[in-house]
Order: sequence, then structure tokens, then C-alpha cells
Amino acid sequence: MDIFALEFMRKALLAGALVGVAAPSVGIFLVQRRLSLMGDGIGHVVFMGVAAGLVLGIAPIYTALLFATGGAVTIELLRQRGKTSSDVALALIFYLGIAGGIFLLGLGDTSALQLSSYLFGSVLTVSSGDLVVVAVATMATFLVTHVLRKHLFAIAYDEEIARVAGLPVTSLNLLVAVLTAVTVAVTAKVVGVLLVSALLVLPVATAQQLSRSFRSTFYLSVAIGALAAFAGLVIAFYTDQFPAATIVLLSIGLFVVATTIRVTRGEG
Amino acid sequence: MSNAAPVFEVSDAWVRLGNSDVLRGVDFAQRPGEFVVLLGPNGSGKTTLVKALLGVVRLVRGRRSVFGHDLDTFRHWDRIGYVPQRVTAAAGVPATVGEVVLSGRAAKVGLLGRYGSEDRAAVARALDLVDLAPLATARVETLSGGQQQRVLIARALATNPEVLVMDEPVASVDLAHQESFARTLGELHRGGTSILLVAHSLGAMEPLAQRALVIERGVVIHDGAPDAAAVQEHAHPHHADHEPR
Repeated sequence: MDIFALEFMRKALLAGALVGVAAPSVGIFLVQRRLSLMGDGIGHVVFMGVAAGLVLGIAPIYTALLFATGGAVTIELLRQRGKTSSDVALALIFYLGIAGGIFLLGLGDTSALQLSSYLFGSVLTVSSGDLVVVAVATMATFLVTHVLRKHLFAIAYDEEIARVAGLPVTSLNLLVAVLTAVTVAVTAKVVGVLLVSALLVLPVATAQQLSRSFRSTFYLSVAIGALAAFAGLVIAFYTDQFPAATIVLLSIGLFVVATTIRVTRGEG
Repeated sequence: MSNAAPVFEVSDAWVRLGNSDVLRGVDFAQRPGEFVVLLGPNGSGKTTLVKALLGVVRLVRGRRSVFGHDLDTFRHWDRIGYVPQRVTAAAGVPATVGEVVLSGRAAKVGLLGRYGSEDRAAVARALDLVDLAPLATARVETLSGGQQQRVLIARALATNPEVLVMDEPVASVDLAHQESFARTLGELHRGGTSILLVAHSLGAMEPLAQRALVIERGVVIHDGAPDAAAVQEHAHPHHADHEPR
């Protein structure tokens, strides 16, 4: 069977590849700041956004974007305050996302099927409207992180030095938070709320096994992300599996291969 | 001289962190070209004073200026090279020595700008100054503690700053490297760079320092010749081995 003959597969492959490029391009700055779980946190909020969309009868991708952005900005502002309690505040936002989402779903008559499609992804049901949103969000994310990567690198490397050097640290951190939110919201469509962080973090973790510089880590992780999403979808199609599972398992497989290569090269 | 505004100037500077006054009415002005060592026991407020001079922490009272400009309106941050206290130069994602040093120029190129040949030349010069030129393409985390420290200094030097501010740069550097580090600083200072160095003790800096500022419990207790500061140190012994971080 020709995979490209099917319209829903063409849309799915395009959405997958776009998300595969954008997710590591913003994920790398989260990994650099050791905030790898930020994507998970925003994913929880996306769940609430999806629930709001289903209840209100709005395309969930829009409400997901809205809620994710609000959640990410809140998390970032809490982080900037630098209080020790920000860890707890972060946890509160996660719980609010899930509990609030379930509560909202309870208000409507949403089926369990609709719910699970957002927990585990529903890339095969990407509509043309969704695809436009995914394309705009992912291309904007990649362009912005690519153009600003030297500044974002400097800030993620050391905020205090960056501040003294005169970089607009607060604004750029908020920008990264918003880009993360946008990316998580559209990535959730492909791999689901529960696995969204895997696409942000795993390609970066894989690339850094093989790279020496930040620059090569950036480009390699983007290539790995696109490959994992695209190939994972193809595998899912021919094995009749859930795409989220094949994409993430393939990403983990690539990570293991990269780590093995590094170890056998003797770079410890 | 009209162009000889102090590099840093604070008067009656008070800083409050949490519930305690960490700086209590500090007056200090560094003249251009001056080599100042800032000494004092742990927790005396040395790092806080540096952060106050750079605008990283807020003053609850007092005035401060940088190169004669009010801190809030000062824009030429590339005139200042800053090396904060840090354990390592490594981050979560691999980066080469050259990339870390180049990032010192990120603010200079503008948000939409790209690094050019001028930037690369500045990086090469900075790496040369700290004797790390052969390691430009090495991964930062594969370097020793002392080498990582020099990477951070090179990063601060990448904008060709008029003043270099360093917070305990030799804390993790062995004696042999402290001496080579002192030679580097001496070279920079002779070239006209002002130096403000936070340290436990004068150590290898003794022949270079022109002035010592000693603070204790947020108050300046000595401001003058460095040898007198050495005497002060004996009055307040501390143990470098037990310094946190």
C-alpha cells in the first residue's frame, strides 16, 4: 500500500516532520538550562486547554495554544522570582492542568475516545485547519530560535553574565517560554500530552552524544527530531501501531544507538 | 580631567537580602586604570558589593554610577567584563571553548546580527590572553577546573572591556596557574584595563594590586595600600579550604 496515496497520511507525515524540527529547536534551550521537564509541565496545561476546547466547541488546538501560553508565562514568571517555593508552585500548575481538564470534561458530554486521542496523540486525524496552525507555529518557532540562538545560548549559559552584558534577559526568557508553549501545544496533537516532552528532549539528548559544539547539537537534534517523527509514522502505518508509541520508541532507540557510538569511540 | 569619571562609584550603598543588611553604607570609587582587590571574610558582602556595582542587586539606599553614568541609563555594557563565581564553565548541552567565549559578544552583535570576522578575531585574542588558543575547539566540560576558569575569563575579555570584574577567579585554580593568571592580569593592567578582583587573600596578586578594599559585615574597614590589608587579614583569619563553592 502506498503511504503517500492517502491524504490523511500525507498530512500526518507533514505535521510530524514539522513538529520534529520545531520541538528540539526550543527543547535544546530547556535542556541547556536543565529544565527538561518544563515540556511535561506545559503538557499538563495543554490537557486543560484541550478540555476547554471540547466543552466550548472550539477546535481544541486553539484553546490548547492559549492555555499553554498562559501556563508557560506563569511558570517563567515564577521562576524569575527565584523563590524556593517556585518548585511547589510549578507542581501546583501541573496538577491544576490535569484536575482542571478533567473537571471541564465533566461539564460536557465528551467521550473517553476523544479524551484518549489527546492523551496519546491523534496525528492521523489532523485536519487541514490543524495543519495550518501546526505549520505556522513550528516554522515560527524554528525561525526564531535559529535567528536568536546565540543570544538564547548566552542566556541559558549564564543569566547573570548575560544580564550584565546588556542582553534583554527577561524578555528573551519569556519568548522562550511562549515558544515552548506553542511547540508543546502543537506537538501534543502528534504524540499526545503524555509524550510531548519526549520530542523536545530526546533528540537533543541523542545529538549531544555525538556533538562537540552547541551549533552541531542544534542542527543534529533538529534532523534527528524530524527523522524520528517521520520514520515513526511510517512504521506505525505499516505495523498498525499508535504513532506516538513508534515515534517515541524510535527516539529512544536512536538515543541508545548514539550513546553506544559515543562509548565505543572511547569518549566515555 | 573631565574624561576620568570613576569606573564604578557607590556612595552610602545599602543592600538588603532577605532580612539582613548585607551592605551597610559602603562608599567606593574605582579610578580608571586602577587595580583593586576586594578582600574580606566569608559572608562579609564582597560578592554583594560587586553585584551592587554591576546593578545585579538593588540598592535600598545610596547612589551608584558606572563610567560616570547613572546605572539605569547606562547602555555600554561591553565596556565591562564580568566573571562571576562559578563552579564550572560547562552547561547542560555540549559547547566548545570557542562558542562559550564567542557568547561574550552576543549582546554586541544585536538580536538579528550575525557573528563576523571581527567577533572571531576578538575571541582569538581573548583565548590568546589566557593561553587557551590551542583548545578553542575542545568541549568545555573536558577541561580542568583551572582551564574552565580561564574560559570564563576569556569570555569576559571578548568585548575588549575597559574594566574586568572577577569574583574569586582563583578559588579553584592551583598555585602554578594562579601565578600565570597573575601574569595575565598584569599584562592586561599594563595595557590600561582596570581590574576589580574579589579574593580571599592577596596571594599571587600582591605585587599587582594598587589598592585593597576590605569589608566586613557589610562595612568597609580598610581602603588603601594592599600591604596594610594583608595585616588586616591576619587579624581576621579564615580558612580557604572550607570556603563554600
